[in-house]
Amino acid sequence: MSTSGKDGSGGTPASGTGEAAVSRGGARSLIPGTIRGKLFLVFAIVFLSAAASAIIAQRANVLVQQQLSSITEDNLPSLVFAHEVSAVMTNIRGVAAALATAETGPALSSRRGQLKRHIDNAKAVINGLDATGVDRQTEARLNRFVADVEELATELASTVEMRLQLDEQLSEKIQGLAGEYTKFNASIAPLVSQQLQFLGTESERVTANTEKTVSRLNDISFKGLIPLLSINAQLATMKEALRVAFEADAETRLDDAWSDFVASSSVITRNLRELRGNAAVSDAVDVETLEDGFGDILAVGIGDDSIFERKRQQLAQEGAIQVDAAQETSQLEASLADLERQLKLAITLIRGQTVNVGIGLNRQVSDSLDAINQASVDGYGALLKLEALGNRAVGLLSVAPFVQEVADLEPLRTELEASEAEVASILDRLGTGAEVSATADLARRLMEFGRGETGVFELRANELQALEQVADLLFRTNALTQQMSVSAAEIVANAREMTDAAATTALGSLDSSRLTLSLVIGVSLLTMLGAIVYVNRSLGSRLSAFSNATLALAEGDLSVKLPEATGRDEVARLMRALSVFRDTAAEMQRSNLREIAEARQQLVDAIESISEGFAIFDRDDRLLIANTRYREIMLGDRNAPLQPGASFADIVRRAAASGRFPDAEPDPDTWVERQISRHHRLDEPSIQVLAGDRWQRISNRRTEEGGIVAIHSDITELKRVSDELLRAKEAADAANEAKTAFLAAMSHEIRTPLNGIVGMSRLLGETKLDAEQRDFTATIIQAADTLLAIINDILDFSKVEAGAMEIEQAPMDLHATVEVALELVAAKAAEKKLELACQIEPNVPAWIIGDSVRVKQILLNLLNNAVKFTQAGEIVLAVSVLKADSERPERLGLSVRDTGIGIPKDRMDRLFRSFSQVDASTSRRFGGTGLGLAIAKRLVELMGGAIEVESEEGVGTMFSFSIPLQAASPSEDERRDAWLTGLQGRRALVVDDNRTNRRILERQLGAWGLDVSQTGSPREALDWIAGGAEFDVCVIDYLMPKMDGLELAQRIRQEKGQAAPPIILCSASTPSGSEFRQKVAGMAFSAVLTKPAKSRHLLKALHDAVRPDADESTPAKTEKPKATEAACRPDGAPLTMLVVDDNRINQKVASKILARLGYAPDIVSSGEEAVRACMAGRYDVVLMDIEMPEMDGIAATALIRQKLPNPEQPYVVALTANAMAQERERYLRSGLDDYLSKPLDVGALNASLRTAAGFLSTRGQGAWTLEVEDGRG
Amino acid sequence: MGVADEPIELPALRRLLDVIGGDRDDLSELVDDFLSGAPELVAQMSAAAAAADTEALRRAAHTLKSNAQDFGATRLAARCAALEGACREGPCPEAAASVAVIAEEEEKARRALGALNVEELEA
Repeated sequence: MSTSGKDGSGGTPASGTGEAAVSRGGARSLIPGTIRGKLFLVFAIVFLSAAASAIIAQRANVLVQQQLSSITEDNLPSLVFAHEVSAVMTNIRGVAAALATAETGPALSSRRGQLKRHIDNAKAVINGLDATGVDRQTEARLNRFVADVEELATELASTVEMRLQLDEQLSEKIQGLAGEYTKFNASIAPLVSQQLQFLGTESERVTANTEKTVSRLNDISFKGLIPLLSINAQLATMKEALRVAFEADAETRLDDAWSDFVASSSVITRNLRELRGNAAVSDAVDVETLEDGFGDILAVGIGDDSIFERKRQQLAQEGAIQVDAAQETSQLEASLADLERQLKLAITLIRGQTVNVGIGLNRQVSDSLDAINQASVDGYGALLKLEALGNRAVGLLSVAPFVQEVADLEPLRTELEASEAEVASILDRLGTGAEVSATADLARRLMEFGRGETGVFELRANELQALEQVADLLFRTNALTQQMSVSAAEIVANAREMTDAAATTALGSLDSSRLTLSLVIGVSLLTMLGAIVYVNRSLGSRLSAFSNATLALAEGDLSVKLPEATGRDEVARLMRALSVFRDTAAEMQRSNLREIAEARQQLVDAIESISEGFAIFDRDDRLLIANTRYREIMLGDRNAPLQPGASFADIVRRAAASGRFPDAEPDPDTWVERQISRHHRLDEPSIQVLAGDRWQRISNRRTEEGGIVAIHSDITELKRVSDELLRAKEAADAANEAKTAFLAAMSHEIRTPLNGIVGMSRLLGETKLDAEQRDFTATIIQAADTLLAIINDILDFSKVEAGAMEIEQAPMDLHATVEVALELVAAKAAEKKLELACQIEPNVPAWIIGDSVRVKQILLNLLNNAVKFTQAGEIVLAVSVLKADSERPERLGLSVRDTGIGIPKDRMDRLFRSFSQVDASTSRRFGGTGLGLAIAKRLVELMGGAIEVESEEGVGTMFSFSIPLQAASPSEDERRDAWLTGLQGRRALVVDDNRTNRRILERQLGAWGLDVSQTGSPREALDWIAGGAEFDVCVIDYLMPKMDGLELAQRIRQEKGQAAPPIILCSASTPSGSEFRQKVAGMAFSAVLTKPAKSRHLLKALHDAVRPDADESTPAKTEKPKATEAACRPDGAPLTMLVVDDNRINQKVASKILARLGYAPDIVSSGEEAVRACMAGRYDVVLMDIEMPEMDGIAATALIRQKLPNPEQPYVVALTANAMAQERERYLRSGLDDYLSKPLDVGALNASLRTAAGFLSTRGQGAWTLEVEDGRG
Repeated sequence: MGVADEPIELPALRRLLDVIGGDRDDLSELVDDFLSGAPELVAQMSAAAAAADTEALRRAAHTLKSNAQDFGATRLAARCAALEGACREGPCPEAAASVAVIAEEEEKARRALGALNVEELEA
């Protein structure tokens, strides 16, 4: 199938020209001859069958369409009508239902309008029925239905309207009811509260009455009865006492009875008093009678003739008065009985009274309760009942509008009537009081809401009826519309039947069309299949044979068998063309191979013609080509087999085995590896030694393809020459060295005897000589001097050459150096009448760091030359500061210019060479070694500078050189000299009462060049000053009799004012204390010294006093005492010292030297011990050996510096046998303070120790304290 | 110029006497110290050279140099200084030979110093 697809797609573009081919081919045979014809035939068949299928399908389609449109035209109107009727009826039903449930007037009228519109609509639909072909009968039926519906709708609307009216009335009624109900509630509320108030008042009254009665009862029963009962009991006691009295036969018994009697009688008296005070009791009981009766009894027992008294007398007077016991007893008994009776009566009365009061209370309470009862039942109760009934009636009436059935209204009505009856009875009971009548009236009116035609119940009954009617009407309307829908459905059913029939017909015709179409398509497919088989057979196999042959040719196989070119179509023509192409290609291949072989031969010839070994390697280090020379070099045989493709590693291995490379002998493998790594090093050529002392140079280049071209050149000759040169140079150097050494040795050896000659000649010159002898002697001296100068030059030069010249870096006085140099040539210049001038720019520092000796030597050389070569005119030495430029920092420029003979241009370059003068004749004329300028040049270079010359023949020459400029401060000794200069001729006044002191000062100051006036009397000094004597400085003593130094100073100042000279105060012992210090500070002395003043201090003080503005940079505090004895600490004791040395002998030597100088050093043998010792005890100075095992002096010093606090740091002096200048710097950098070389020099040691003492005294102390403490040392 | 012929240079010894304050007993004591200490130092140097301990060798040479200088054994001092310098440069293959020469010099110096009568040394 894929083949046919390809053919089909290929056929489409060919179709345009297809007809021509058919007409041409068709004339000869039925089947076309060309591929194009064949393809056209296939296409035609396919086209025809497709056309037939399309026509058949089109016809079937038209048929079905016709049938479908007939269905539509016949049945659609009736279907539409049915649908419309159904829709309208649905609308009518919906609107009718809405109308039936309308709740307001406006809703009702709007829905009524809607309903009418729908009904009109229905009418219109039915009237339009004519067009649809529905029968008349159906139409009439439908019209009738519509009329009925309209009628029902009208009725429904009016019924609903009526219902709405009833509903409205009912609502109004209920609203009225609510109003009345509110009024009723409002009128009954005050009645109820009034009734409640009445009940409250009544119950309060009952309570009050009851309380009063209960209290009275209490009074009577308890407060009355208890005294009475008590009286009764006491009475019994009294009766017993009397009885005892009567019968008593002893006085004691009588007394007991009497006391009982008295006690009881007092109790009775008290009770009687209480009874009398109780109103309630006294109302009921006759207390007076009781008192009378009691009085009678008392009369018997108490009084002079009482029974007890008489009985006592009787007992006392034994029978004097006889008591008539019987009589007395009966009388008493009568009284007692009477009283008892009275008492019992009283008790009875009290009890009766109690009962009466209780009964009264009961009655009172009962009456009150009745009254309350009356009030609550008849008033309050009735009102509450009435309120409840009102509520109930309103409830019943409110429920009525929501009742759904008429029958349900009846129980409500009955209940309301019952309530009404009850209300009537309550109202009767309440009577017709003015306050009740309004409420009663309202109650009756509430009841009336349920009664009559317009009563709530009746209204609801009517409304319910109307609702029922509406439902009925609605139902009927729905039924009618339903019937109409049914009619519409019938119409639809009819239409559907007709449609179904038509559709069946359409389907039949569709089936027959489909069958025909299938047949046509089947035939087409068969035809196409046949066509495809044919095309494949006649084209496919032949084309594939062609393509195979072409591919084989393309791959270069020119001998492939080509298929037979049968037939006369395009394929046959292609086959023939292919065979022609094959033949041509075979011919070309043969000719190319010939050309390549020729070119290669030319390349090989070219490579072979090179004298160097030549080889090319590819990027994998495989040999591409190598010439015979390469084989010869690498393998030792020009005919050695070396095939292209051999790896470089193999070649080198063979080379190593060939024995041609001496380097490979000891370790061939390493050698091979080295060669391989070199092979890839393209940047530099390598040199290799070959057997037979031959040398080759190998250079490798990268080719464009990433391979390597190796070129091996024989450089044996070149190497030989260069070796010879090297040997020659070494020999020359050695000779030069030998020469220098010889010169040095010789000069030294010559100088010693020469010095002798000079010295002796001078001595000789001072002896007595005649003129001739003197002349000879002068000549000898002159010659010897010259010789000495020459030898010195040679020595210097050889030193410079040998690199043994060391340039010092120390502060130097530039001015002095220049001046000395000038002075040295001044005499010679004067001899020749030459002007000698010096010009130093003002910005040139006076002190610089440098080597003054060497600078002077250079200047002298230049000046000497200038004097030598100048006959007339001037010589100018100029010194200036050369500004820093981009290349160099600031430098010092020195130049010597003369107006001499000048130097020819062509000789200038020889000028600075050794042993050369401008020409030989010059040498003869002017003498000299010719070394001077060479030495000067070397020295300047050693100083880091440069020298140059400008000259013009006959005009003059200028030599100029520059050296690095580093300003320095002058050294102490130099300063001292400067100070002394400043003091020359100054006038000094010395005032001291101590003569010795005075004289010492006088001598000292005199020695320094001062003009000294001295006196022991301050007064005299003042006189001198007053007399006009002028002094530049005063040195006065502090402690003097009559007038001390302070006063003297004040007076001098008073006398001279602003012109007063500076004053130095000396004090033998410093009065310590702040008062003195303040005074002294206030006096502004130019210095305060402690006697005896150190000369150094004094000098400094004088200098400061005379020139206070000069030398600001070195204030007094940096000054150090200069002692010849042992240097001391600020407190005056000798410095404490630690000697650190591992060498026992050195230890001993050091300790002996120090002991001699007055110190007592401690000694340790290692750096560790030194550190420990320094931390344990405080040392002023540590003499530290540098060379020690374990921890050397530098490390130990570093540790000491690190561990000790600053004020305790010792002054550490390095001791070493290694005396190198650069070492010294290293020590000082490492924290050591000074440096001494071994063997120790006592002077140097002393100087260092004095420096140490100065260092200790300045450390961390103020200037003032220092001055004072320094002096003590 | 050149190296002195005598193993001990008397001026140096005099200088030492001067430096320590001119006490001949003290000088005798120091000389005895040197005579007893020097062979020990040479022995140390031999051992260090054999063990190729450059640092120990250098240190011993330094010490002997310093002492020899003090007592005027200038040739010995010079030999020691040379060896010390060589050791400073790094491992010293000729050390053993140098030590042998030094041992020889040391013996000469020691003998000369031992024969010297300190009391007769001019001030």
